[in-house]
Amino acid sequence: MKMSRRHFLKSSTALGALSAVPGLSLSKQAVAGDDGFRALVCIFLFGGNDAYNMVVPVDQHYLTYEKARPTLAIAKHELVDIGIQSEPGDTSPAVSLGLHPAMSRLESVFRDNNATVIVNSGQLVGPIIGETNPHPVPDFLMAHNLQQTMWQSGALNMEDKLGWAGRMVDSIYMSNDLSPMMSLNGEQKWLRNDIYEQMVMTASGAGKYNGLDQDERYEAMKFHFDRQFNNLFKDNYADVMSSRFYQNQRLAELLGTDEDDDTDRSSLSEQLHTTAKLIQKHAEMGHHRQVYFVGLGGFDTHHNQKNVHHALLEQLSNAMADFYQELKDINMLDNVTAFTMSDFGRRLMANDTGTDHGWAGHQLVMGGAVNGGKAYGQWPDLTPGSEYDYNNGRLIPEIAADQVNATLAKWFGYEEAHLDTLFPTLKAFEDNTLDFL
Amino acid sequence: MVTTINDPIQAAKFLYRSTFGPKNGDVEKLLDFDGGIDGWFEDQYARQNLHLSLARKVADDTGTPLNESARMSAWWQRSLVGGDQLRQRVAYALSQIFVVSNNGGPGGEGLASYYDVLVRNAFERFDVLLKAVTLHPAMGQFLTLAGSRAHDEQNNTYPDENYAREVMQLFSIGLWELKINGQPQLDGEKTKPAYTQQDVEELARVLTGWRKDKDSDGKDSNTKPMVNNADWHDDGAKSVLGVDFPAGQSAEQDLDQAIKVLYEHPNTPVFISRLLIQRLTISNPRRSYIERVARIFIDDGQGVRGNMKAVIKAILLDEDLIEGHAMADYQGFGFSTRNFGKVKEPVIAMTNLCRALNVKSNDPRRWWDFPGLQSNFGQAPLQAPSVFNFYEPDYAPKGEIANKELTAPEFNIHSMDSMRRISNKMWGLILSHRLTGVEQWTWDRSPLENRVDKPEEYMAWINERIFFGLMSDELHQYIEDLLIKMTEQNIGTDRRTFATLFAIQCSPDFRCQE
Repeated sequence: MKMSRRHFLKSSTALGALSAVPGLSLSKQAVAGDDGFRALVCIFLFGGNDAYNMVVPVDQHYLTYEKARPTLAIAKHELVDIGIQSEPGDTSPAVSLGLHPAMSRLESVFRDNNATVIVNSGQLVGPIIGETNPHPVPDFLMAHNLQQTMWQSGALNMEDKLGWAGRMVDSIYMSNDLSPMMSLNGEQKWLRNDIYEQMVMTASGAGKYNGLDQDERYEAMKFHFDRQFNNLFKDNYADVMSSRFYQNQRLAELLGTDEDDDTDRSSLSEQLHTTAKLIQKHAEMGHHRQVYFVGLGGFDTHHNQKNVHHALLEQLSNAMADFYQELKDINMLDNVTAFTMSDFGRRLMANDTGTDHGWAGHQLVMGGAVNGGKAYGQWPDLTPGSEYDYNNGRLIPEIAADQVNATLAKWFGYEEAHLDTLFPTLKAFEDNTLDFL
Repeated sequence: MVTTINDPIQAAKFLYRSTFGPKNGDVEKLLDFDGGIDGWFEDQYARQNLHLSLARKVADDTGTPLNESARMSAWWQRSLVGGDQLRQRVAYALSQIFVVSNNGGPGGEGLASYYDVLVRNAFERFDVLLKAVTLHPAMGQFLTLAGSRAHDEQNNTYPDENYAREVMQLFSIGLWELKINGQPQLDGEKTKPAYTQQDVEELARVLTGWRKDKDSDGKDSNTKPMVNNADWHDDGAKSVLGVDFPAGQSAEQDLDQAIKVLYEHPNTPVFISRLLIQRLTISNPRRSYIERVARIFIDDGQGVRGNMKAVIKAILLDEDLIEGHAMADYQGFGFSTRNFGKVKEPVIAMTNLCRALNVKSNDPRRWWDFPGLQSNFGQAPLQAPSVFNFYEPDYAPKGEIANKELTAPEFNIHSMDSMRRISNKMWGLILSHRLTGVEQWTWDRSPLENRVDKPEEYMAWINERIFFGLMSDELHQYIEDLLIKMTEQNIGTDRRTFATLFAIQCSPDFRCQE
């Protein structure tokens, strides 16, 4: 007999066997907080965030930045000084960094040493800057969808059907039948794994199935759940139908259902607010680990960037600041690490009133586990034609996205010795991880 | 194109693929059509209902602005009751290839006008369609070609690369060099990129110099094709995809040459054909099906390339559809009957139900968006989250479909949340037979009420009017048993009709298409 999704979930205690995959049990040092719970929260900035207008030098290095993009540069006196510096290197000095004026609410989080910036990072398959034999550039650098996939897969894992969070979770023992992989922003490759369906919800969480108030209708729906079909699509549809129904039911038990079903609950702050509510329920859900995906679109600012980008960064900053406060209130700050990803950085040189697709950018990381007080990575030389200039102000990253991802995976509990299985690119780098966690 | 449609089962299946769903009498009409299936196509090619004029009219008639609500009103009316079903269905498929969205695009007026470009050019030559898409101000705004200008040394600004990239990646040639059957051309074991970043930059230069035209009130027009501004155009020599663009060409000359390069590129026939097959007929076409359509794209038999009439016809009448053949597991040779068909797009499942029940708007002046497509269905016409549409063409859900290296793009939007919302809206439609509010819809339940005590007649009506003869024996049996049991328990008409219709709308039988 066909094993329905429901049966599969129920019998998933058998999945304990999967933890014997080489690998990966939780290392001792991975255990945090009261009950050792940990959650990763990815905030994806869709479209390619203009990171070089999000993080800007507040010292004399401002001048090089201003010269590169005179029509788009943020006025120096408006920048929010967050009291951190980039790392000095052989050729680059420590640069004092500030945030875009729309992000003032994050200043206190940085001043609490609970947030940092990963400077000039992006997709790499091996080091380029400072190498006599630089590695080749990754495939399809400036294509939105493929670069989004690369962030979610790993730079050399595009062909992999699963995302890196999914592969990470497949190797860690999860003692529960309820999926720990949750997206509040659509189905995402990052969360695809071999064991669990990802739970895709809106910020309104679970809701009611209307029409099930009479037994015969409820029975009719359940009748379809376990039907078998010769046709691939119908057969799989029945399974999807059933698993989505039971996911919703479980979530409704935990969170209650939203009365006002048609309200739009898609804003980033609503997504993070629901994330905090779910994190608070982790013990009731039987989770000692959870992975969340939230997102904000609109960063493909080819046009009218000044206004559009300001509004986006304001949403990002306010949503992150509120989330920070909520985590504090529920005493979960040390158990949660939130971080940004984005397709790519944008070109330093402007278009008419916007910017075009670039390569390197900066990412933000926030949470009680973050080693704040400084930024990670060296500030690049923004002069046209410098060794960082791939072409016309598209900057070459110095920190690989996979090094950042590996650092997050290690904090989550993935065994350090196997990080280069999760991210094969790491073999090309001296350091698998960074010290920001 | 060896196929003809001559039995009711094939006719019903054909209508699910080529229209927004059959209505009562459509199967018979198709089978009796003067001139047969060719006659049906000729008749459909000749029909054309536009959206902008209708959206404008409903806005005026109901004293509302020409906004997204007015545009959706026109979309529902055209999709549910328009006589040009094939054209409307193809335009909807094209709207998911040449994506423009209210998310970054203009408002209802500009989008309705853009949709009309797809409606008008659905059966034109591909290059004519591509040029019209490129120059529409909605596209100019959405992918920011409007205002893109030559490199300015003083301000250190560059041409906008957005449209140049997406027109290649998504609207014509795709990412990799392809064989005529859709498989990637390999260089050893590696796929070969169809274009380089250099090509993007050069094409961006070619496409500089366009801006929105002005309306009579002096404002930027969202309906007139873009016009060029010679000062903004980079008229230096360029080279795109190995083709030289001589110096001194005007913006229009450069654009025409660019369209020609993309239209004649060897990838375009197979890239576009496969996307249209997936939208209209089945998710996993065999290589041979893709190749047959691509060859018609290359030459319609009269020496014309990109004849969309011929391409659409080849897609809808392919022999594999009659045989029920799809790609074998693991993309192997041979065929599979199990893998045939697709999951319906949620919007299409809704239009199928509406057309079957002959749903009407309570407002004689217009249709209101009663199902609330965008917030409930995971998709709505011209409301995709980005230029990458609602789903990935190669998406495969976890489990059997992914394991067998097959695809089912529509599963990508069947999330926990949208499954529930779709169910609620379909249920809402079933209950709407008693609704009278002006912004609500309704349908006539009396044929079911009249038959509810006669299970055999009731089931015959359901099979004929909702499934057009395609209802499975298993579902037929279940619904009939349910009806008989409830009748024995003296349960009233409401609960009996509601239970049977609820069971039908949510069934995998109704939500998938073979």
